[in-house]
Amino acid sequence: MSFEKQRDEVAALCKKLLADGAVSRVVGFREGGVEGMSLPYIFTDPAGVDMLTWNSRCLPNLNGYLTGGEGNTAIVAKPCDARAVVALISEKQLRREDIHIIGLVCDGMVDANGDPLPACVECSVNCPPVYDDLIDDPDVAEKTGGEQVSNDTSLERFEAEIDKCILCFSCRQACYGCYCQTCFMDRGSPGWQPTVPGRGDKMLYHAGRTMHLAGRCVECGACENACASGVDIRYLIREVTNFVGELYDYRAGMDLDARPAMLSYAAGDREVGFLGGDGDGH
Amino acid sequence: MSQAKAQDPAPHTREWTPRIVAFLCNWCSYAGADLAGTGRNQYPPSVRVIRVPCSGRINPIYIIKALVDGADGVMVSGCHPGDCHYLAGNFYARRRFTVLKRLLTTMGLSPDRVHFTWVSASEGARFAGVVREVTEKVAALGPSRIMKGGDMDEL
Amino acid sequence: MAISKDVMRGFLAHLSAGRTLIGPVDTGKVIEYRKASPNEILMDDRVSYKSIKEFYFPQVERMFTFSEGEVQDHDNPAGCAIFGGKPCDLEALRVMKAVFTTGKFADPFFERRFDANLLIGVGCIAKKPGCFCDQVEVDMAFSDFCDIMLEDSGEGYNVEYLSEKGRQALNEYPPTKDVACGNTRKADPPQADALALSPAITEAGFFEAIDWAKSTETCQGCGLCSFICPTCHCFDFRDSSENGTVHRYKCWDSCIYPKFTLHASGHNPRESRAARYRQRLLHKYRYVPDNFGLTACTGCGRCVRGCPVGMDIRQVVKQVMEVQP
Repeated sequence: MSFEKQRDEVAALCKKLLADGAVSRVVGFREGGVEGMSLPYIFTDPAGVDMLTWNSRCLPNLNGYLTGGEGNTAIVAKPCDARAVVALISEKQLRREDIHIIGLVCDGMVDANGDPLPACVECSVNCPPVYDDLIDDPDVAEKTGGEQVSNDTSLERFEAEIDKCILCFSCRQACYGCYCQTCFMDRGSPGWQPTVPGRGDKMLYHAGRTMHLAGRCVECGACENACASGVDIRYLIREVTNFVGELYDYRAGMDLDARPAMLSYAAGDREVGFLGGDGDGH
Repeated sequence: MSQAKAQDPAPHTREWTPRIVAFLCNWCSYAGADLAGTGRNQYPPSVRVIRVPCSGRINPIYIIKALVDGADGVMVSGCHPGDCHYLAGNFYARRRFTVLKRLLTTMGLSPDRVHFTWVSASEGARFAGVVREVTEKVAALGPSRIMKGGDMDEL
Repeated sequence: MAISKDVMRGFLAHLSAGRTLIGPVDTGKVIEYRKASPNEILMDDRVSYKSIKEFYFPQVERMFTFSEGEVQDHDNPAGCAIFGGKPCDLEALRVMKAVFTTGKFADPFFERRFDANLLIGVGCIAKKPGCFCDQVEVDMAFSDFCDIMLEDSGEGYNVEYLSEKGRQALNEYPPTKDVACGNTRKADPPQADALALSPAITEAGFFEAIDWAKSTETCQGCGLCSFICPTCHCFDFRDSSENGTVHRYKCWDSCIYPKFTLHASGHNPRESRAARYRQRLLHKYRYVPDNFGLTACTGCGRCVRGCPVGMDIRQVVKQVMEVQP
């Protein structure tokens, strides 16, 4: 099987869903971007589905387009998109019955040069954990675990990364989890931001955003793919996501019934790094 | 632009002492700090206390903001787990702080700049001890240089 | 005069003795203009993700400092030697110059940098994916809005000076002493398939011209396009105070952000993302042409390449162009 075959199956399914009136919108991809990039597109007409595409350049996370519009929405979901949908449902941002998940087995996306994207190399989920329809691809081998990346946790590394950042907030806009009506960085009162854009501003933004995403990241890499400046800020959330997984045995978007890690607690939670807590970090 | 940032007192004018922002919950740790005062328990004058209703009310961004704005250290204290005035606030806080500390150390901050602990209303002496310990640890690190420099208007 | 790229590196080394040298550098992940040594500067045909605008209009610029009874101007910038501005960047600088220095108010900060900087332009050999300078009447290989222009032949450069500043700089370095003035050469942009909006349509006509909400429905509103755009020039003032001394800064802003037009009352005249996108497009293709006679889009293609969701300004402009007055 291949992208083309999966594409044909998805297109037939979307056509049917739209024609039957089961959904009023299909969020998917069409061709037409530069350097072979596929563009997010919202299909509302069965005839328009001919434009639908599915290839190795379907990068953006589509969860930003799920709300708005009347009736149910179907999403052409990579495993990470599907995880984001699940996470949004468990955070009560979406209702399960409003969303039709067309899950695709995915072997990872590539950049403009054809190299696999870093997030996809590290990815360990190639089949959507929750779906209404699954478009399988038997050629994609089941993954047992993604590539492990060791983190350099020096201040120099952090400074080097944020010095590249131009504070355009495209990582925030690309992220499924950043759905606040007004981001803390945009608030006038209280004004969190230091008055002058600089390292302090960027530290506040990246650390604050990473905390907001703690235990919620679905590892799609949209933040990194969106960044035009080539900042690898994803290493922060990767570390936090692994830590949350280790400590609280939770991975975002894998299970509709699991309670998000940061919205729950246990009496016996470890106090890693606390004064008089159980070590690590001291 | 660096002049615009909070400056540490020049070494020749005044001996440098760390500036530590302490977030204390109203019901236990703030009362504990009070008890330390009435009980005449000595501790270094390096902490600036901010009283909050509950440790669960502390947005991690408060802590990050304090560091960005030039605090040399931050300490946070609330009721012991199980004793929260609002029943479970400190349980949520515990997860948040645990994760925040890991995040800050991933960013390259020394783990000794940020401290979390529990102090009850009856632990005046313990509060004084905690402040002494935190002050020592932060003082050993010296003034914070977090996010100094690298400003965007240097050309 | 034709010179080899090695001679050009020698010239840059000579320049770097007296000025901060800026040039395109491959950082591994992206190509960007930054302080560089002559040897790390790229001399191939690749293009950076940001333009040279930050050396004329920095993301953050201190304007002045004041304390009680005293206002102090920020020092004059020393000026840099900027290598490798592409013709689209140079034409964009022409737009910036018009915006910042004509009319009732001139921006001294831009002017000072403009006067202090030495700008060396380099022509493109080929169009890159997303480039569309040919559709906005910009000559890919040549622009006269710089001090020294290099036309890239692949092996070497054909060098011309276009200003007195450029002539002097070349004169100081023996191998480039005899370079000729390039003011006889004219940019020769292609004329076909131009992207331009009809002046016959009123501004209000454009507002309802197309279904802006549908055309921009996938825009995420991140504002990256305006930050990496060589002509976007909106800014905001910010003050920061410390111990009684206040610094005032001029910082980049973007019309794509909802806060850009937010009034103190809470009212926002451009509430939807579509309205903000429309503003950015019309500013480039209608308002600046009306006010200054220049199109504020020079076809560099950076927004097209950089957009995380592949929004393509050309396609939206084309839709608007189909509207009849």
